[in-house]
Amino acid sequence: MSRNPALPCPSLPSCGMLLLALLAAGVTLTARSSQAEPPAGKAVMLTDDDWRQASRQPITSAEIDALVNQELQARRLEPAPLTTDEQFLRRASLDLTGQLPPPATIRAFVASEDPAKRAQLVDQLLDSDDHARHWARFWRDVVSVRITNRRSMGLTRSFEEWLFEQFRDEQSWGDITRRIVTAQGELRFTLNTPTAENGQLFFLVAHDSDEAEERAAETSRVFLGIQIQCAQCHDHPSEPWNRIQFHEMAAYFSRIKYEQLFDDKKLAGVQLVVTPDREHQMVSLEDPDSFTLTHPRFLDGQAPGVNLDDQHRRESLADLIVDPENHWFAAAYVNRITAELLGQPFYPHVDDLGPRKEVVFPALLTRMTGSFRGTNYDMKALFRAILNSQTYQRQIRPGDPAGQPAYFAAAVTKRLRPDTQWDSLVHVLGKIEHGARFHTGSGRRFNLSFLEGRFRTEFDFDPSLDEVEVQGTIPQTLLMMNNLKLHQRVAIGHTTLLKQVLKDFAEDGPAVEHLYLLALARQPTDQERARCSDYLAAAPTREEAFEDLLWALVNSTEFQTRR
Amino acid sequence: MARQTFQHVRTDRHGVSSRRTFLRQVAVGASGAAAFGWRDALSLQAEQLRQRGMACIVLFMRGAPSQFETFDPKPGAPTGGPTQAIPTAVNGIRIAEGWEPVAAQMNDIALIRSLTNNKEGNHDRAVYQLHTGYVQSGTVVHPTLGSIAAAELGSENFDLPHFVNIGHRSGSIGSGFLGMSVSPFQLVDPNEVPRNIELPPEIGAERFRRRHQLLQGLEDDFAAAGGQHRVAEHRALYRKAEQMVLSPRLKAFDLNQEPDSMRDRYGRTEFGQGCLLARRLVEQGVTFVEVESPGWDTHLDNFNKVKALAADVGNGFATLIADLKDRGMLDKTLVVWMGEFGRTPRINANSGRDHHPLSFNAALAGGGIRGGQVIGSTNAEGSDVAERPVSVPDLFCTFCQALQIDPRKENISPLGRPLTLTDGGQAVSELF
Repeated sequence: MSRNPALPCPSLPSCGMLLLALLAAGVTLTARSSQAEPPAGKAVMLTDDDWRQASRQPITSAEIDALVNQELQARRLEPAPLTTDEQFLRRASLDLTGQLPPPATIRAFVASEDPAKRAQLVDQLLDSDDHARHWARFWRDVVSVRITNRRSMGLTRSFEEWLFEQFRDEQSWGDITRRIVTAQGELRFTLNTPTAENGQLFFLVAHDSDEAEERAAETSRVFLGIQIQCAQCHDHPSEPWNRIQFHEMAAYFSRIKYEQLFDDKKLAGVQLVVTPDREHQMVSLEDPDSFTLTHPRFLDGQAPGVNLDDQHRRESLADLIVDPENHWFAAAYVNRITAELLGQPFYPHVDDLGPRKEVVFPALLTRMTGSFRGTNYDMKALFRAILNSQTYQRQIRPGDPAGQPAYFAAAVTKRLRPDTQWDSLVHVLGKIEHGARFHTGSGRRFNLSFLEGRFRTEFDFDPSLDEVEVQGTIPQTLLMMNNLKLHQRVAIGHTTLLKQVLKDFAEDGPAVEHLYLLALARQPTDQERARCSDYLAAAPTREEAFEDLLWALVNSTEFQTRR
Repeated sequence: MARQTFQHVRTDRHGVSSRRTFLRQVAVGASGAAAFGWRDALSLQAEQLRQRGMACIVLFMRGAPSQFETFDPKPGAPTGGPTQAIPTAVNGIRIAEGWEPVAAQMNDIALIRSLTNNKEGNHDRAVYQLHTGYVQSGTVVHPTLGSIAAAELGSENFDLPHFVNIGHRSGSIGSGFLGMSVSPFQLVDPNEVPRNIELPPEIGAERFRRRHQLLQGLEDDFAAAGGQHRVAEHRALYRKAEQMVLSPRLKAFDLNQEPDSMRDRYGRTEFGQGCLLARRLVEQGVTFVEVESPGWDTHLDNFNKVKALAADVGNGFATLIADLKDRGMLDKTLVVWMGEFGRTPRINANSGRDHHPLSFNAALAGGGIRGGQVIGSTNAEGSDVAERPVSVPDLFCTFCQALQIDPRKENISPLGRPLTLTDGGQAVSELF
């Protein structure tokens, strides 16, 4: 992986050259002189003025399209056609809720002649609990795939539950972030009942060595999109970050320490313990025995004062992070969400922003960021604007070379998140097993005694990776091909889906159609109908042929892909 | 005879095969292979399935092992801690106590005491560097050594993964831009046969193939609509998985096929059994196996922790070398013991040692490496390299030379940039 979080180590000379985003740094470092709007058609570095001058009014879908089209013209790119209703329904359902639409919903949606049906669908999906669940899982993974403290892994579910409640209750991204950065107290293992109680603490107990540095690095990466350990420190001595700034960021976390929590000598959870007088030490590069005390100072140079206690330190950090004048906070969210929904981030990576990095579609980025800042980090408003845009509603198209950016001219295929893939399987095959998917109490994120937990572990990938870095694996393939539990659900048994389908549809054609709607949320093409019909004709029995067809559908590329 | 053998293959619990697969495998083998039973044919093929016959086993000490408590002890120095040095089978070479089985194999082992890794003391980045030979950069994901070896040495017709990673638990360093076909097959526990490699009951090989054909046909429309790259990757995966499921070589993964005495000899630990599995896989034609030993990040209680690790790892490492030698496989199998960096001369307040990328060590055996020698040295305190520094690119050139791979060969990255297999460097010529 090219972009694992580089873990800062006090004894590390290489850390010395890295680090830190000054909010002001862009002004002096950028090569381009300030102008009203960044130029279209090329990648540029943004100035502070670019961020400041962008409107903070809520952005509309039409504005997104206008800004995209302006760029497409400058780049001489032809946009792809708009999606069909079927394609839109599947994409929006997967993106907003991680769930496939059932066949009856697909038929009704396609049949409806209401011109506002797409917008209505978006509203309906945004207001569902599934939406809160899907994005809670997404952010759970953003944080938890990088966790280094094995003891805290079992607490992943609490974090998900807590995030779920925040999203369901329409808390703003700013408030959610503040609660995570200022979390305190303890987080207890629970048995099989999920609980959200103090789940926000998960982020801070994710690491148990080099704690302050890790917390600073991850806070910066996840919420600001700033990799304070520059990935190419040796090659870019001109980066604006310096070593002391990183340690000043770490100093915000110097007074908290991870500890295990015991009930009657039994491990019951983890906690943050406050050590009132501790200061962060930056170890000397020359002499590992000597160090410099560092005090909290944010990336923009603001410092909360030397003698603040832990709580005030971290509150002041949260204030600075979510301050609307700090454009990195909004930009990091916008950049990441755009990559998820429109298939491409503005910066080269979703979590690696900064004043010296070039962005594409700069006017769209600054405008969306302005809107997010102006709406007090209203996530649903941003989603709504994106989902209702034509830019979102374009088709994928053949011929776009692999690994090349699509520049928002066409939709981009994306591998579904592991949770979504599992839920899709359940959607098609019915309940696969009874049991808890999470593991509580120790070293794993999921309970490997269950297929569901193994599936999620096997298909897991870091949501912060570039799409091209996520590859399928042989063990994933073997699981889908051969797993006994899946096989039993595909086979025609007493209670399986297929038995019912063959009973409901005496004719092969409608039965095939139904399976396609169920698995791929679309009608088969004429060619697919013909192939299925040939296969059915040649197979020893109708039952066997349909088992094979169902197996093929859930094993297909499209089944695990958002298109 | 062949027919009988075929029946046997079909009914084998872990190696369902078919006549067609079997015949194809035989056809790949040496001329006259058909005259042998399948067992002979398979073992004959192992070397031929690797171009030039070379294989590699890396024992990776995740967390960065202390050089002081492994192969560069400094007894008596203020930085040496309580660790004593013991003699080895080679006069004049002394290593840390606790590594007695390794000491006994020293005639086959060469130590490098002067490794230095470009000052990279962060675990993830250093693990990346000691797996790829390159410093991590944001622009390209370099392939790991196992993937390079798989791509250079593995035969296209081989039906198991070319590259197996045992005991790897977190993070992932894969094939980078070389793609899925040479990415590592990961096994967490060597004692378990990989999951889902058996066909479900009542799905015979014929029906399994029919299903695959149906799947391939039904992918066309999505590929034509714009999913072509994903479909291509997916198809390659399914082809590879299908081959594997039908392979009679699968039994290599089943340690129950080894006599108890052999399993005991390697040690009944995950690492020990991992070493045994590595030998079985290489024997069956796998090109590259990595066995990971976790827990070397000894910031706390370094001396006791390393003692426990050494007992396990030392036995597995030494047994592996001896066993490969007994089987005549050592000359063609490079065995590497290493971690991502070293640990500080300074012993911290928790009886631990911290990260020290300036100097650390590695041990090499087999693959034409001349054993019984030490390359380079560190100064009296062990704080820095004193003689003959060996950089990570030098180390990777050495691996390449042992495996008979050209380190200057260029691959083309996805962005069209030519990248040599190693990042410059020179092989340590004294080793050969």
